[in-house]
Amino acid sequence: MKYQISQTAYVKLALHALKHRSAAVNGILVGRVSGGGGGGGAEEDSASTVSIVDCVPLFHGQLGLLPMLELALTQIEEYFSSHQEGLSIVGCYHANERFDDYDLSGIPRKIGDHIARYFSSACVLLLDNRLLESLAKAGKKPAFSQLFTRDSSRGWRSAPGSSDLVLAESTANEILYDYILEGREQSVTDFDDHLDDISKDWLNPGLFD
Amino acid sequence: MGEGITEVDRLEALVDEGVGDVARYLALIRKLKLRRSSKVAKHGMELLRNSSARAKLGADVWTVYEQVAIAALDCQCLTAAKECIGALLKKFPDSTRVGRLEGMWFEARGSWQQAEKVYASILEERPTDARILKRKIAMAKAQGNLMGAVDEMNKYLELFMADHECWKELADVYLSLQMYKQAAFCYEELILVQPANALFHLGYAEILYTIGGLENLKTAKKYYASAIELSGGKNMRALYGVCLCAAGINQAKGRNIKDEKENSTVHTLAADVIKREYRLKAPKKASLAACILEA
Repeated sequence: MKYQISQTAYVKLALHALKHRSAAVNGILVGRVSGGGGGGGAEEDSASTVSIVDCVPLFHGQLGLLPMLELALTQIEEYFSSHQEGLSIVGCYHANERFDDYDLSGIPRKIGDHIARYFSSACVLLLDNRLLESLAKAGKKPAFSQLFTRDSSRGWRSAPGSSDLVLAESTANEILYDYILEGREQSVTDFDDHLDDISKDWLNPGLFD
Repeated sequence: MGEGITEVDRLEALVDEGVGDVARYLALIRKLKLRRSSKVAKHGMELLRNSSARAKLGADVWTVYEQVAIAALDCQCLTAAKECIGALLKKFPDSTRVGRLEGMWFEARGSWQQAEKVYASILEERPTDARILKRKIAMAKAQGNLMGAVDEMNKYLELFMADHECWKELADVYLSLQMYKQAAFCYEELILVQPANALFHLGYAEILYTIGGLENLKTAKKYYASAIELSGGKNMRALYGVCLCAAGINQAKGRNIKDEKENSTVHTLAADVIKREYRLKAPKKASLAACILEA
């Protein structure tokens, strides 16, 4: 199974992490499966690609509580299945609180497990700050995430090479770099922000204008 | 708190353009205990390097040096931080408060052992210095030693059992380790210390819901309800929480009919408030909110 991430999803999740530098953040990945046998049940079909089309930033700071997570997952699934054809939840992303922490901890694993119950090829993206620092040189590869997928024993393992996750648009890193210089991360709204003020939209409609 | 944030944002925009009152901005950041380190470091250093601006601060200049030093450390601007700490050392050569900043400078570099030495020597004279004990907790956390941080916090709380910031920090660390029962205990202490704080009732409810089970859902619903009351009916998480609990309780086994009736009143009231708020402030999302509430 190959994984591809759109510029929209990639830049949005990076900006979310950059907005909250001293906290852990997470979010949901939304997309579809294409090629190969098709359908969400395709497991080890190497001809298929999971396309991560968009993402929804969820929380910053406290990520381990259930009620608002359940609420968010329901609303996100409802929105994307009724407004955007063929899109559903395909995984989640997570950024640890500390700069040098590269472990996939219990919380993203649990969220990943939950998503995997509905979509067997679910993935978890773990942001890696070392790679973010070398953003300017990254070029075509996604700069700063480690891809985790489920192995046969139902655990999460890191995908072997960087070829398993590709950027759909080669301009993604340049765009992200420009946005960082502008300070655009301040405009990202996550589900936490929405709950604090419901007039803020977790779909982030104006973010890329 | 909301109005304070708006005022800070307004001042920040002016200061960014070069026309704002930096001293007032920094004072408001201190008062609200916000963490906006890159702005504070940038504008603070500019102010402190300007001798007439510095003179206008009067006695506040030392507090500003401390504030800017910490902000600079947060941004890894170690030279700027050293400048501020140097000025403070000259004025207060034997101060343990400045000693703490020296230790924090070592921490920012990752020189943990040197930071330990600084703190150990202060603790020799003052074994219950709360600020230094907190640095030891922070260092454990920064090095990823979460169980060590938990130990240090428990030791600290034996000395300072009404320190709600530490109970909250301990709860947060327990939650990140998925130790929900221990986190719940911390929130029980928080509610004892500040029984009218809606956020503590809310946090306790969230943890109980996360642990799950019929009894916990029932208790969570009570705490969500008290959070609603204490926050003047405005807290969206608490309003949603009551509805989520009601749905969970209805699905669970072993409930009796009397409970079911009580259930529907709180749940329906909260659902009505949510629907009304969405219609007013987020009409595009109103149908999404409603689909949860119908369940």
